[in-house]
This record gives sequence, C-alpha cells and structure tokens, in this order.
Amino acid sequence: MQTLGNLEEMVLLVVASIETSAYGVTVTDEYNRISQKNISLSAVHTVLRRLEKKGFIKSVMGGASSERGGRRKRLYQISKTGYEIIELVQMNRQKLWARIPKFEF
Amino acid sequence: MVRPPYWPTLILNWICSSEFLEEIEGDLIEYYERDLQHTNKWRAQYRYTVNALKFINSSNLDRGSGRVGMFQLISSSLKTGYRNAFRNRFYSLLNLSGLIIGLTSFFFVIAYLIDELSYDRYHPSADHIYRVIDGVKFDDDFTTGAIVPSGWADGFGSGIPEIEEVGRIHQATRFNPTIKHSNRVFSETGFIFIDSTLLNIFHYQYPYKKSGNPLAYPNAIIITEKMSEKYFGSSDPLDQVLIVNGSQNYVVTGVIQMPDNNSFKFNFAALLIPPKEDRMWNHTFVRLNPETNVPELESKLETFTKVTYGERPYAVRQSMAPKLQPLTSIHHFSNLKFEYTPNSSITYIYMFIAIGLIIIVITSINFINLTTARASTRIKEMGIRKVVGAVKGQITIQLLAENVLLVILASIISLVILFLLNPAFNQWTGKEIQIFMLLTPIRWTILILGVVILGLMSGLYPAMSLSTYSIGRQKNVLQEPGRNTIRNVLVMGQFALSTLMIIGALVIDRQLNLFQNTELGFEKMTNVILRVADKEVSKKHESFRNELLLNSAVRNVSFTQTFPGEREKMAVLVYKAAVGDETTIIPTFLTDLHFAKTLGIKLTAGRYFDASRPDDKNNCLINRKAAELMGWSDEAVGKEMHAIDLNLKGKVIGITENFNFSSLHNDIEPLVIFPVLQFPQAFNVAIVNIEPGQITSVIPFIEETWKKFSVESPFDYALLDDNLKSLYLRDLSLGKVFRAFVILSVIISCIGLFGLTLYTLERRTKEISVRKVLGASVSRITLLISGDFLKLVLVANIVAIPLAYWLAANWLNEFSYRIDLGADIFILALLLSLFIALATIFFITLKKALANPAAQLRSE
Repeated sequence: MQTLGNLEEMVLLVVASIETSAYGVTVTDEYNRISQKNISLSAVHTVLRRLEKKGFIKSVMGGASSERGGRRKRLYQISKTGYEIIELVQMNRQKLWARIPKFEF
Repeated sequence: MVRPPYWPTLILNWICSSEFLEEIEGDLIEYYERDLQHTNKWRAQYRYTVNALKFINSSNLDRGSGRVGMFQLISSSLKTGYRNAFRNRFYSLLNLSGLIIGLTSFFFVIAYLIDELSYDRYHPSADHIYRVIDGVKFDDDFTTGAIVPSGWADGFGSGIPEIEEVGRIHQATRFNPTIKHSNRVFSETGFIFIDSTLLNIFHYQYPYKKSGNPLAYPNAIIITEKMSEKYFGSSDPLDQVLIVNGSQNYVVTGVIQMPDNNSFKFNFAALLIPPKEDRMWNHTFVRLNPETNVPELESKLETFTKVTYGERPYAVRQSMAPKLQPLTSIHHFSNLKFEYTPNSSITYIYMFIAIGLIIIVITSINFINLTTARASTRIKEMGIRKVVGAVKGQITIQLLAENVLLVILASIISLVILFLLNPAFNQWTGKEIQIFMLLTPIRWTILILGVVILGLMSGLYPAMSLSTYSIGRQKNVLQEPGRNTIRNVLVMGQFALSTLMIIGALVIDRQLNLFQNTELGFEKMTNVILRVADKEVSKKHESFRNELLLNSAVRNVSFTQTFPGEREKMAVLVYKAAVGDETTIIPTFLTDLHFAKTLGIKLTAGRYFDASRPDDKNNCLINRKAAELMGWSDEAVGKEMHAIDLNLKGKVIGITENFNFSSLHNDIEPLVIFPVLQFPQAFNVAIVNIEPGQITSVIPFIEETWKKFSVESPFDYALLDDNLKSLYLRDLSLGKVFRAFVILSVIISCIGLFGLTLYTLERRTKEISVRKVLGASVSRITLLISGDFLKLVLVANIVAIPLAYWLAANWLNEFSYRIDLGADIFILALLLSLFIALATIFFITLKKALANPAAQLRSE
C-alpha cells in the first residue's frame, strides 16, 4: 500500500474535485483558494508527478491551443486506487471524528 | 503581448526532462499571461523568472532516455567515483589524509602570513601615515635613526600643508617606573609619552574612554586593557589615580585594546611634555594628505629643516635630510638605529611563503601520483564508457570532477580541523589569530576559487593521462610494470623539497643552539636578576648588599641600572672624543662598583673597581671596542672619559674583553661601565651571583632579606639565563613553527611514497613470485623494489643540496654570530631522507618478498 502525505492528500482531493480540466495551474489555484496558502506552481507539479508515480492519478496530454504559447496541458484524472485511498482516509477520519467527545473551549 | 524573459526558459530547456518540459512551460506562460493582466510587465516577468527557477529540482531533471543530459553524466560518474573510492578504501584514505594534512598546514601558513602582513594596517588611514627618520652620526658615517629631535614636530605641524597631523612617541628607554595604586606597587615597563595628536593618527578601540581626546585632560594617562585588569580588576578604571615613581599622579582617562599586530605597543601612555631644548628625541609620525607626492615632500622637508633647525646644537650629528618611512613597511623592513622594538624581517615572510608553497606542491604531487597510480585500475571502466559512446572530453571531465570533489571534501575537513586547532596554534606561535575573523567574504571567495583551481590543476594530469588511453592499447597499459617517467620525476621533486625543508630545519636548529650555547663573556647561569621597584631599596643598596653577603652561598651582589640582554634599556651617552671637539655615542652601564666582578667579566688590561679606593667612584671601565673607537687601543688605561649628558668624568682603570651585552643578532658595540653611586635611584636591578647549584636554596633567603628592606614592593626575580633566552623568543618560536611544518611535509611525502610502493608491489606481484620461484633471495627482491625508490630519493638529494646550501647561507648572513655550514649538515640530511624513505617502504616490501609465491601465483 502506497503512503499518502498531507500535501499529497490535499492535491489528490483537489484533482478529484476538478472534474474535467485538472492541470498544473488549475490545481495550484484551487489548492491556494481552499487552503488559504500560497504554494508555488513547481511544488504542485512535483506532487502531481509523485501521485502519478504512485498510481493515484492518471495523466493525458491535452490538445494544443493558441493560448499558453501553443503548449499543451497535462490533464490529470483520479485513478481507481486514488479514489479508494481518499475514500479510506475519509472513512478513517469519520470514524475517529465520531468518537471525539464534544469539547467546549 | 509582452514575451516572457528568455533566459529562464533556456535554463529550463537545458535541465528539464523533455517529457515534462511542454506542460511546465505551458503552465508558466499561463500564469505569466494572467499576471500581465493584473500587474505591470516587470512584476510579471519577475514572477515568471522566480516560478521558472523553482522548477529546477530533482523531480524535473532530465534523466529520461532521450538525449544524454549533463545530469546523467555527472550522477553516473559520481556513483562510479564513489564506488571506486570505497572499493579502494585504503588508498582513498591515504590520498585523502595526505590532502588534509597538506591543506591544513597550508591554511595555517596562510593564516600566519595574513596576520604578519596585517601589522599596523588597522589604522583607517594607515597608507598615509609615515615616520620621520633621519641620519645620525656616530663616528664618521651617518646611520639612519628611527628618532628625530622633538622640536621638528612643531615645525612640521604648522608650516607644511601636506602634513595633516603630527604626533610623537617618546620612548624613555631608561624609564622603568614603579606604579602604585591602593597600596600595591609594581615595577612597570612599556611606559611611554605621546602627543595627544598621536591619537588622531593611530586609531585604537577604547573599551573605556572619557569624551573627546583622552589626553586632553590634565595629568591624563591611557592604559591598556591588560593593565586596567591588573590594577583595577573589574571596576571602572576611568578617573582612577596611578602614582608613578611615588610622586607623580596620573588619572586614567582611557583604556585601549592593544592590537597584537601593532609595532608600537605600550602599557601606559602619558602626555608628552617636551623640554625647551632639543635634548629629547622621538619617534615622530605624520599623517599626510592622500594626494601627497612623498619624494617631493621629503625634499621640501629637507630645505625646511636645514633653514629652521640648521643652527641647533644637535645639527652636527644629524644629516638634516628627513626621510618619510611608511608605517606599514616598518614591521617587515625597518632595521634602523633606535627602533621602538626590534622589528621582524621580510626574510621570515619569504620563508613562510616558501614553506606554504612547498607544502602545497608536495601535497599536489602526492595527489597526482596516488591518483594516476590508482587510475590505471579503472581503465576497464573507461574502456566500457568509451565503447558505449563516451568521448574523450566526457571522460576527462568525469575524472576531473571526481578529483575536484575530493579536493573540496579534503578542504572542508581541513577547515574544520583548522578551527578546532586554532587555540593550540595560537598558544604555540604566541599569536592571537582568530581564523574565523580572518575569513572575510573576499577571502572566502579566494579560498573557494583556490581550492577549485588546486583540484583542477592536480586533477588535470591524471584525468588527461587516463582518458587518452585508446581502448586497443589498454591491455598493454595494464601490464606496464609501474614505470612512469613523469611519476618518477614528481616523486623526485617531492623528496627534493622535503630534503630542502630538512636541511632548513637542521640549520635553524643549530643556529638557535648557537644562541643558547655561545660564550657571552659573562656568567649567565649563576646570576639572578632582582627587579628593584622600590627606590628605597636602591638608596640603601650597600646595606642590602652586605646583608645578602652574610650568606656564604652569595658570592657577589651588584646594583645597576640595567644588565646584559636589556640593550634597549641601556643609557646611550654622548662622550667627548679623545681629540678635538667631536663627540661620540657609546652605550653605557650605570652601575655600582661590583658590576664587572659580579658578572664575571674578564679584563684584558688594568684592574676592577676597588671599593676601598675612594677615587674609584669616579673611574670607569671600557671595553676593547670602546678603546679602539676612542683611538687608544692598549694604552687606554689612565685616559679620561667624559659623558657630556650626565656630566660624568672619570679615568679608565681597566679594559674589559668584548663581551656580548645585547643579543647575538648584533655585533658587539663599544661599551663604558660607569659607577653612579651619586644617583642610587638609577639602580633598577640587583644582580646576585650565587654559588653554582645553590640557587634554589638561596632564593628564599634573598626574598626574606628583600622583605626586610621593602614592604610594599613585590619580590620579583629571574635567572639571567632565562632573561637572555627571551631575546631569542622570536627565533625560537620561528624554529618551532618551521620544525613542525618540516615534519608535516615529510609525513605527506611519506604517505605518497607509501601509497606508490604499495601500488607497485601489487602490480609486480606476479613478477616477484616468479623471481622467487626461480631462486631469487628475499634480500635481492627487497633491494630490487626499494632500490628503485631509493635511487629517486638520492637524485632528489643531489638536486636539493646545492639549493639548500645557497638558501641557508643567505639566511645566516643576517646574524653576526652564525654557525659554519659544514658538510655534516648535508650528509645528515641525506642520510635522514634516505632513512625516512627506506623506513616508509621497507616493511611492506619485505612482507611482499617474504610471501609464499605459490599462494600469490595460484590466484591467477
């Protein structure tokens, strides 16, 4: 079973949540919007590549357009194992969350 | 549409894997286009660059199949380089340790040199500070003296626009005051008088200082941190009172940090109040306007002094042509009359530069030899690389990179060792070097560049020689029996340098021994020097003497102003010449009547003083040199000496031998011994002559007697011999440092030789075994292998010895007393280097020769 780091998990969730056009720029933007952080493009690329190596996501090169200086996008999609692992993580969290007593701070 | 900057794209192109390049570029451009709409062009371009550069990380690096990138080549060579080094752990360790020892020693030499060369350079305008010097007449010729009449400073300070500031130091050589503070009295040295303006020329750090110029206050004195600690401990030294010689009160107005690399050190500096007449001579410093033309100013000063001071009484003894000596040159080049302290010599700097160069050359040779020798085991690897398509340049670069990395690794370890050994090094050289402080950004850059260049230079030859083998020829190379002309020449060079260093160490050692053992012409082992800080004791010197003489082990006691070995504290008096109105200057011991007898100075004519003859109080002794100077030679006894300054007049009653009363660096000077019983306060020292072997047992008795005479002043004594040794401290420490570096460089050479021998033995295993099978004896085989190396060492010696002779002869020329450069030193060095070489290689060779040939051959 492959491990899943914190940032990896977040990026994986972002990829899963963007249905059609998950690639470097959109994933970075979405991550930064959700987590209120400012992560760099290159960091996201590195994570995406690692996730793909671990088999959690699949990628395919998109079609060329006149935008982006004519460069194609690498579009990512969550894989079956990827979906399974976030589901597992989510379930584990829910179980633990349910057992936490109500704290009043 | 503004295009994104070009060069970050280029870098990405170069290092990024082609697999990812397109998407990365696309994403970057998309970001950039968006930024362009939100912010201005510059900001967008900046962010594009930053974002692009962030992509330089390992996950994007080109290691894919397509083209062979830089990264691939480097990582592959590093991997094989590391594996290769690890497989031959022993050799790598040998090579690395040679490098580390060499580099560490080299760095220490550099640190030492930087410190030496930094002397007097810490003043902000050091390059514009000059000392005024002038010719002084002794007998017939002018000798340049470091001091000039005090009046000159006034004229120089006002009339000449090029001179921004003038300041004087008066070093009262006969002034060794007692200083008292809250019931504690010490006898002090290093008490000088300076102009307040000198503090505008020389810049010091003041841990404590009253506002403004500290010498502008009445009765002000500035002292060093060390003295502040001695007198006041941790309490605030400002406004504390020091009582000098029991009468003069000084108020501390400043405490300075005395830099170690300072030619004009002092402990106390009070304000100089020059007398009206020009009897006082000073070190006079000027700070010039940066645009000054110095030779022009010198000729201007000559005219000025001749016009202004030409009529003064001292003018006959002065050349009246002042020269300006740069402050920064004083420590290394100045060797004038009346120097403030004896300066170093540039020869020492050259010597250390030579040591540094020799060490680095020996280290590099070692590295080259060990690397080339081991490299031949990697021929297979190189062959494979070539077969799969590497070109010569790539292999050269690979090997070069490995060597450079090894050198860098060694330097890092050396630097760590350097920092760890820093305190030990300081203790050992007597310096106060902070190596961290020496490493300014510029020096870091030089250091890094130097290390890389060293790595490139010593790595280039092994890299070239290995990469040029053609694949076809490599089989032959593998069987070449370890003969390699260049390697042999290098080993020879290495041992030639080692022999050079060995001879250097031997010569210095002997010269230092000479200092210790030369007959000085007086007793140094049986005499004890007592510092008389309490002038009450000086006044009662006769009763003190009589009390001491009650002890049968005390042979004689003499009170004197100073004693042999403290040349700089001696009175230098002006005497009337034998004929005419001329005068001449002669160093003089001002003493009681027992000086010559106590010290055991031998007479060549006449007699010693006799306390029972009342007129002897006004007679004097002179040495043969002085008699010659006065033009009397043998019939000097009975002639009259007249010291004008102190108005001492007396008949010569005896002529002493020429004994050495300064240091063996200098020739014997003329000398007068004048009794000054009328000024007992001049007696700073008592010399006690004790029966040999009883010194330790008599010291408590002397101390007891001392306490009877003086309540407040501490008992301060030293052996005369120890005092004399301090004259040669600089030489001794130099000798010590030199010897250590010699040993280190010999060790480095030996590491190299050891490695090479080991390698040769490995290569010739088969040959040795076959020879043994065919009946060669162990001794023959040992001789065969070690003979090759010993021949090299022998040739190295033949090259080194003439060079060493020349260098040693040059160095010894600096000394008035010097050893003879006999053949024995060179023979000893030859034998020593042969022995060291033999010892290095003998046992491993013997082991190989003794090994069972069957076991060796079976493995094939």
